Amino acid sequence: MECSFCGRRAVYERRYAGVLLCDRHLIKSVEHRFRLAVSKHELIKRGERVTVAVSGGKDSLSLLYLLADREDAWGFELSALTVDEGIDGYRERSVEKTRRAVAELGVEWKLLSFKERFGRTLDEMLRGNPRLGPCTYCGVLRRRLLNEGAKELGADKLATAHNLDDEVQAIFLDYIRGDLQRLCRLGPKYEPREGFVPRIKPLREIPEKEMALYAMLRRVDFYLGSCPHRRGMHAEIERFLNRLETHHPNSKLMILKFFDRIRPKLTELLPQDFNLQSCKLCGEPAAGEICRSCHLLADLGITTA
Amino acid sequence: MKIRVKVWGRGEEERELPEGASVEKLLEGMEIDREAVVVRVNGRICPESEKLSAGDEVLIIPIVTGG
Repeated sequence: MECSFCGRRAVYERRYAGVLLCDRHLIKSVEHRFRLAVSKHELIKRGERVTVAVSGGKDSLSLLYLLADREDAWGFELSALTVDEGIDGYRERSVEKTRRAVAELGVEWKLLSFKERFGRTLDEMLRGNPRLGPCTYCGVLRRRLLNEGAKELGADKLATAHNLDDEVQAIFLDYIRGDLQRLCRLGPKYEPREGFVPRIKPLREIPEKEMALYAMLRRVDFYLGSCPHRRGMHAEIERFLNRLETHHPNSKLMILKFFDRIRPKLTELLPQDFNLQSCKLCGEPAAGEICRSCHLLADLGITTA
Repeated sequence: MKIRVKVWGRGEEERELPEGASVEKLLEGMEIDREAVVVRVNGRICPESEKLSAGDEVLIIPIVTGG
């Protein structure tokens, strides 16, 4: 089968556009979409310090390389940040991939761990059978360390590698949970809020499958393992969306595009007098006196004051 | 026709498919969504509409990993 643009051997059928792509055109297309997203949403400005959150998987390592390619041309300063949650047999291998990539690129890199910052690894936290699911503790605490780490690196922006699949899954999850506040934050960039390094998502419109192909074809040395704690509703939504996309190509992108259209209206439903304050325990931004991560840590019997 | 199928991280098996069946047909039979995998046939990444031939070696790589 041949590429629709150059006749070389095709590696991918982009069914939602009705075209076949060869390795070169797939790579070119992903890079074009990345650059388009950055310019359309004005994600990066000249002179800024941009920290990319890197787990060592296909998406975040690809984003690291994509950003490193444009660092000089766009005139920003790149650094990388990794959070080691302490997931046995999983995270240490992806951290190693990250270590190699940042060394190869000569990018400043910061590695933060749950063990160092909270006194326990995620696996140790979960041994006590806490009240909530593993992804809640992991997600909330990881986001806290990403924000802390980005501030310590002096970042103006924190780039994360959320792809189209991640975004659409998050829309469904927040919708099902009725979490309007989180739902409204699901845009290409977070509105600046006191105490938070603004986050940007340059891969938000690129399907997971195209990111995987990009990483493989560009020979990014990434870690392809599954998180052992991954289960529950998130995984079910993921399967449902992949099934939907298989039977109805372009569904994921249409869901995202429509969500982006209604998001400004949804945001109007949020209470307007909502103000963030500093958490009394850790000083990070909080909706009440104590931030969510300190609440969760207290649940686990960990104090951070 | 017989083809060898390996799912990355799992075992390998031989499967029987009708002559000229595509990768897509193979995935359907295994109840695998094409959106969740990348497929290599005889070492090359290929579109799911590609036709398979007897003796082909297919590697199915799940791409959904989380975290």
